[in-house]
Amino acid sequence: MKVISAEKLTKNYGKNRGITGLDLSVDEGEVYGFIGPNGAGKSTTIKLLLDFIRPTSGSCRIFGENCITASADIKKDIGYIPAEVSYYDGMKVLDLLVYSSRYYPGNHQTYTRKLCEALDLDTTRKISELSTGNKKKVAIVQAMLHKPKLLIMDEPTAGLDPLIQYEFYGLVKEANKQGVTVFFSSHILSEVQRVCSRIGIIRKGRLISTQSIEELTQAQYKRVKVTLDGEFNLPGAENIKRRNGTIEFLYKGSADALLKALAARHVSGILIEDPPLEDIFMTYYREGGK
Amino acid sequence: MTLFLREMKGNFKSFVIWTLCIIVMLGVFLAMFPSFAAQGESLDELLSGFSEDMLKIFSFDNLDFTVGIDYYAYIFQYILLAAMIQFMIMGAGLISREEDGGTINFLYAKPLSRSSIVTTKFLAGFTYIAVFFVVFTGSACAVLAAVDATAINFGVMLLFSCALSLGQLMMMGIGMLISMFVTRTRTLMSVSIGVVLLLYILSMVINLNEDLSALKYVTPFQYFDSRSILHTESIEWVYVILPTGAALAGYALSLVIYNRRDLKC
Repeated sequence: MKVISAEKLTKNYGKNRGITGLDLSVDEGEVYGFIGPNGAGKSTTIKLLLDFIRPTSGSCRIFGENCITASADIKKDIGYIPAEVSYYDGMKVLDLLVYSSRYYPGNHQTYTRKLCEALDLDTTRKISELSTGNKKKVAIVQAMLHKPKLLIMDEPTAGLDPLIQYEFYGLVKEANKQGVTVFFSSHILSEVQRVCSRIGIIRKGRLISTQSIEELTQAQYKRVKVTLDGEFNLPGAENIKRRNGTIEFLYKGSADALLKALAARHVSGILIEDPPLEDIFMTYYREGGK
Repeated sequence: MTLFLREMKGNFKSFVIWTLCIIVMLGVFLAMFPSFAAQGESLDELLSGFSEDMLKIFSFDNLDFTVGIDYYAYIFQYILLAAMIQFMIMGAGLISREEDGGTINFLYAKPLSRSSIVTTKFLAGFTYIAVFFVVFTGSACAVLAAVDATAINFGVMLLFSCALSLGQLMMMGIGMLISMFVTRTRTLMSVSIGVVLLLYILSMVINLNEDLSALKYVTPFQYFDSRSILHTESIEWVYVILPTGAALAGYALSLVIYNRRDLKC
């Protein structure tokens, strides 16, 4: 079943571009990373899915239901972590969590307590006195406490220290194991690598590629480091850097062509590996930028 | 129900402060009554020195300041002004506060429709109007009884309180509607208070200039002329229907607009 599907989703803010003709599809049980530079349209897409804003054209569905007309119904099973977190003045953490849980039928106390412990969140403090990171933790707990079927998160780990990030991704993975679908945006690529099963790359309001993590890291690109005398050029080599006789580049093409080209030279050192996502993204961003 | 209770709580502090201030204002005004009453003749002399226009502007005409309820009718216009500003601000803040404070990101992620947000918030405001009615009427009767028990007329007192509620209701609807267009809280507060003051000044101008009497349906300060309430012991039906209609129109239009526009988040 498709948990999220968008067709030709377009949003313009006056003359400004939001997103253009976005087709999106997220299956049940996936962890989908929505990646792009700042201002690419990640938040716009998320706000359209949650009906905070209305599309200029196109449509989107969650759980097969229309995101606009069935918004209230859909949201029973959604947890949302916004990019910027602000809450009602004077509320304590516990007040907010209790308030949030009242919107969903059932008793959520035990699970809420478990989440707070996992994230090391002090529920007796006033929210207005919390640091950005702690406010984010509150957002995470209130989004997960009713055990939603779909988690939508806009840059969820911004402001969290690495240790808490680790805990957070632990929670996400655990939820995912229990069948929760996760859709989240980020511009931090290592994050994506760690948890996502599939990613969509968005740039200037358009989805320019959708791939599984394996496809992205293994099937296409290799990072090659060779030490040899003189120049080396090969079709498919990108991002070429030279330092002290060592040439480093990203290679997209047949392994055979690479090896044959290298065989003709005197090579004193070689390393061929899967590149980190960062390197791949740089090429994506640049390709689109030309 | 969850949102309703949250709204009641969220507006509680400012409601209490405003209501207390209005009651204190009433108390201070009424505390001056004995000296007014004692110097009735010299006050008449003083007032006769003013031009007729001046008296009309401040609604000094047609009132006997030596009678408690007349005095109450005189200060009523200032109470009405304050009470209308109070609920204009509340109406304007109900929806816009969530967007300006960023809490809409929390609220609208909950299983709530946009219509239910508008309706629930409006109902919370309406509840506060009812609470104001009870608290204010009680306090006003108590204070007036302490000052001049002989002149108390409960029917008229209730009429005055009804007039306050109708004015508040109308302002709340209009405030909510304004907040659909002006979303930044600071601008919004200036605009909404400005609107109430403008209506008040318009009412003064109408008092002065009989050619403008057709405009009396525009400003609620003309609906509840305290002398007319005092002397006829009634409020005309048209002045019940007009503010109620305006409030409902403000609410309905807000509902339509809020269901169409992008939320600021």
